[in-house]
Order: sequence, then structure tokens, then C-alpha cells
Amino acid sequence: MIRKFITKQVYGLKIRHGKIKRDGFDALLADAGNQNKALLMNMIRNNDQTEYGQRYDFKNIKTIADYREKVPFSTYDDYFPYIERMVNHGEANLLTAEPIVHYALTSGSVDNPKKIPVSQKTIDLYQQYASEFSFSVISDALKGKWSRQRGLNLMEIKFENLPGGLFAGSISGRAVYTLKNFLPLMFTSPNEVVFPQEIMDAKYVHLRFALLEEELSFMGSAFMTALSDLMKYLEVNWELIVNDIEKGTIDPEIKISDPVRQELLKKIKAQPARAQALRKIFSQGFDTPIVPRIWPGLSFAFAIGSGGFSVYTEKMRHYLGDIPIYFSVYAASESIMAICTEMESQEFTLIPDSAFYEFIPVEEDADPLKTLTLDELEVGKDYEIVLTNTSGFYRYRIKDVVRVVGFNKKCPKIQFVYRLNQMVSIAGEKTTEECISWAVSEFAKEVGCQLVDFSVYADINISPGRYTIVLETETPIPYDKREAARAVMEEKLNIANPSIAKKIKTQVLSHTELAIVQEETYALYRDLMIMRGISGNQLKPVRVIDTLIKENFFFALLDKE
Amino acid sequence: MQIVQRNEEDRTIFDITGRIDTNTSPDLQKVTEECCNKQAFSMVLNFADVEFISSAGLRVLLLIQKKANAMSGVFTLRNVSETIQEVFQMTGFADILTVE
Repeated sequence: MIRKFITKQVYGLKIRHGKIKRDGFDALLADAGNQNKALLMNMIRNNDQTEYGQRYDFKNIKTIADYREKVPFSTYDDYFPYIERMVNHGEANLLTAEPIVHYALTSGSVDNPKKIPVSQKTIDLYQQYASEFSFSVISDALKGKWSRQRGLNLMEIKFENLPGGLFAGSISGRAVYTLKNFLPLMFTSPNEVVFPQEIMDAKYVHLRFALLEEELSFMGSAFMTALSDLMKYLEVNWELIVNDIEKGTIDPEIKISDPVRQELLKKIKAQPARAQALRKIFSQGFDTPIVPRIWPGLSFAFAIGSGGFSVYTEKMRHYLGDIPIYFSVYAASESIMAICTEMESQEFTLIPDSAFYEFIPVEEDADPLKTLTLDELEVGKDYEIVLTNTSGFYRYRIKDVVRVVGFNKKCPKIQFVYRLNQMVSIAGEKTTEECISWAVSEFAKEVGCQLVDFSVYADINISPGRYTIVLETETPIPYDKREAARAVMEEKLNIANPSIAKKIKTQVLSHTELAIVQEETYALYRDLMIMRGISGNQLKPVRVIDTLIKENFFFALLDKE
Repeated sequence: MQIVQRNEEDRTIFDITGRIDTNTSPDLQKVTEECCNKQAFSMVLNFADVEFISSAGLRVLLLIQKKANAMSGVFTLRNVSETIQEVFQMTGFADILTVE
């Protein structure tokens, strides 16, 4: 009872802090353009004595125009020599006057992990927005339906020690690290899995403890993939978990080291009554939403689940039923950039006090060097984001393209559209992730199949090159219907990007190909990544087959007659 | 798919015949489960008569390998055909599994 009371107080405190932040946010939005420019000028003043500031004459930057003129666009490679000196020799005041307290390892969606310097200011912004602000939005939206009891959070925080004594790891992990002692009050998962020292069956541990909590009040993860995978794991392994709950054991087949197993066993005891109740629920099957049947008090789920994650969001809807989803934030290791201000909305309001934003219009005739500020954007148009953050990156091209979908007061609301380096182009036709997702989704509707996952591969091994859509479906498409299915996929892709249609017609591209992989191929790929030490919580869908490793993997597992 | 279990010194051998696919891989998992649960187990899957292995089958091999790592066990594959060996190479399993 005392724990429940304290948990409620902890969430209450976060919600109150979030409410204060939201009140200030409304004022920020009303004057978003000026607030964002003021943030930049403040950062320029504070950093004019840094090595980077001196190199680009920050001292004489008085206007946005000066800034654009004196400071060039940058990429990670421009900062790499500075970061090496900071990490290996402890040098300070190179990029920012703010002390660097952490290095964020990118989740590796495109390249190998990079070490992004993070200041305390950036961590504070993450905590304020991703946690307090978000909980406040959810609390208001649910109007008292949220019991504010513990939730299931799939975060797994792995830090790497750096020579200077700092840590490298995910920025979201660093943001909650300071709350380490409070985590058991907020979430059901024990610290052994939240701060894993070794690879273990994390899904089992997360579920084992969450299932004991009859009053679980929410579930969440960084990405929707992890939540969806967790539920699939439950569907397959519920008998084993329930048997363990009944006996107070951890099945020997669960991969956990002996010391961790012993620690976890100290925290659990046999609960035959709970096991019996769960067995009854699971025996009724997973055809109808299971989450509200297991946890009647669970009132929301949160995760990044829009855009390329939407296949997984649809899967989660099957498990969640009517339980609403909070789509969280639009963020990267470099900065938290935008946030949902409503439950179930997939529109993100830019955060004017988190970073200075410039935007390059994505149009055929746009000047690639000319940027706009947030008050110059137009609804319905796409822009590449250029970021100046609170940790020493200036005019940094994160290579994300966003679409303005509206305004929240005077601040743009955006949706992520695609990553520039994830765009596929064989003959200049520039096909985005959004095009592929739309085409595959329309294909599934017309062919009447349920998608498990999909990717695109630019096949230039034949001449002329062609698009190959790699697909896994719940039930395999019969072999005699595959040519018809291929034609449907080509038709949908041609609609999504008419430039492909034109190029096929003029034989600049070959006809689009459909490659069906064997059942469980995408799950196997994720299993392999986890086996190699990547946190399941950080895994993103494979939307573009852009490396030889991925190419070999998926094409070795085609479903052939 | 057929599986015959036998012992060879301190090793448990599973002679498998047929295809390891979505339909049959749950059987492989079930049959090998007891052996996998023993500390320091030593298991050999004899692939001499395995015609095909699918993604679902590879997931079972991965699971057994994970258990072997956790239980200080030894997991080996024997008589793997060239075709299946090629699948292992392409999917990265060749770096994870031990093939005699």
C-alpha cells in the first residue's frame, strides 16, 4: 500500500512539473519564431569563445543572416576530430562551453553507432519533454482514468565506459539514469534487465514481472517494434511464463546468468492464484484484444509508432483493442525536436526552446543552400531539417525530411516523412520510405494479405535496374498468384512515385519485382541482432536493404517453390 | 521430418531426416528441449538427411545456441549439406554455429 501511494505521488509530481512546462510551452508557441531565434543568439553568445566559435567568428554574428553566412552546414564527420579530442583527451570548450556529460550512441539506423556529445542542458530538455510533459498530456487526456500505478517500460540502458570517465549509450537511457533509484517505483521491470550487464532473455524478464502486476497502468517503449515483439513473445510463450509464476521459478531454458537468476528469484515468489487467473485468460486465445483482459486497469501505451513503424502499430492495436496510444516525441540522439500534444495524434509540435531549426525546402527548383526559419514554413510542404542544438552542433544536417501538417499557435506541427540517406534512387526517381510504405499498404489491401514486415531493395545487379519489394505476410501468398501480386505491387509503386512508372515505360528501369521471404524471416533478423548485442528496444524496422549483410540475409531466405 | 535421438559417449545426437520448416520446427524445439535444459549439455544435430531449413528452423537453431551459451553447453551441427551451409554463410549463422 505504501509503495502504491509513493508511486502515485511520483507520477503526480511528474505531471505537475509537466503542467508547468506545458503552460510555458503555450507561451513559447505563441511567439515560436522569435523564441527560436532568441535561443540561437543566446547559444552563439555563450559559445563564442569555443574553438568552433572562434573558427566561425561567432563573436560577430548578430543576426540569423550573419549566422547563415559565417557558419557552414555540417555533418558528423565535421565534428569527429573534435569529438575524438574530447573523448580521448578530455579537452573542453571545443564545440560548446556547456560541460559535456554523456555521449549518445546513435541507434544505428543508417551507419555504425556514432558518439554524439550531450550537455546537461540537452538531458534536462529530454527529461522535461519526453517524461514530464508527456505524462501531463496523457493525464489530461485520460481525465482520471490513469491510475498512476506502475507501468511496463521496455527500456534497457547499456552504457559503455569512455576513457575520460564518461558513459556512452542511448540518450533516452541517460535521461532516466539519474532516476535509477526511483525506477522500481515507476516501472515493473527490475534493474537487472533495465541495466543489463550481459545478454539475457529480456522479453521474458519484462513480461514475468509485468504479469505479476495486476494493476499495471501502462506499457511503453522507445519504438513500437519492441512492444509488438513482446506481445508476440507472450503469445508463443505464455504457458512457460505462467508455469513459472505458479511455481515461483524461472525456467532453466530462459537465458539468464546464474548470479542474475539468483537476484531475480529473490524478488519473486510462487503465485498460484495469479497463475490460474492468467492461464484462464490466455486459454481463451489471442484473437480478441489480450492487453485489457490481462490488465483491466491499463489505460494507455506509448511508443514512437508513426511512419515506418505503422505496421507494428497496427499489430499492437490488435493486442490493445481500444486502449489509446501516445505517439511520444520526434527525437534523435542530437536533440528532442517535437512532441505530441494530444493522445493518439501523429502530429508533432516543434519544440522552440530545444534547438534552433532551419529548413531546406524539398522541391525540384529549391536552392539547396537556402534555409527557412520555422515561421516561414508552409502547410503541406516537405523540408529537410537543419539543427543547431544545445550540445555544440551547428547547422547540422540530420538528414530527416519532415512535412508541415499544420500549426499549433504559431509553431509548425510536423510529421517525419523519410531519411534522406534511406531514400532509394536507381535512376534519379527518388523513392522515399513514405512512398514504399503507402504502396505496400495499398498492395496488402488489394491482395487481401496481412503484412508482417517489408523492405525495399534497389536491384542494380540486372540491367536496367529495378525495385524489389521484399515482403513477409502472415499467410504466404500462393505461388500461382505471385505474378498477379507482383503486378499489383508494381501498379501501387507506380502510383506512389510516378517517376518509376515513367522510367519503366521508357525502359530506364526494369519491371518491379516482388520477393516473398519465408515465414519468421524478419523475426529471425531481429533475433540475430539481439544475439549480437543490440538492445531489442532500439531495433528499428529494416526498410531499405542497403548493405551486403542485409542483402545476403533476406535473399537467402526467399520463399521459393 | 523425423528425429531419432541417441547417445554417443557423453553427447546427445539427434539424427534428423526431412525438412525443418514452419510446420516442423516446433517439433525440433520440443524434442531438443529436455537436453538443452541440462547444465553443460553436449548436443549434436546430425543434418546428413536434412533437405531444407527455413527461417523458422534457423530460429530454433539460434535458440539452442543461446541456451548452449547460457548453460555452458556445447552445440554442434554435423554433416551439413553444401546448400544449407550456403544458407548459414549468407545469413551470418556460420559465425554463430559450430559445424563439424
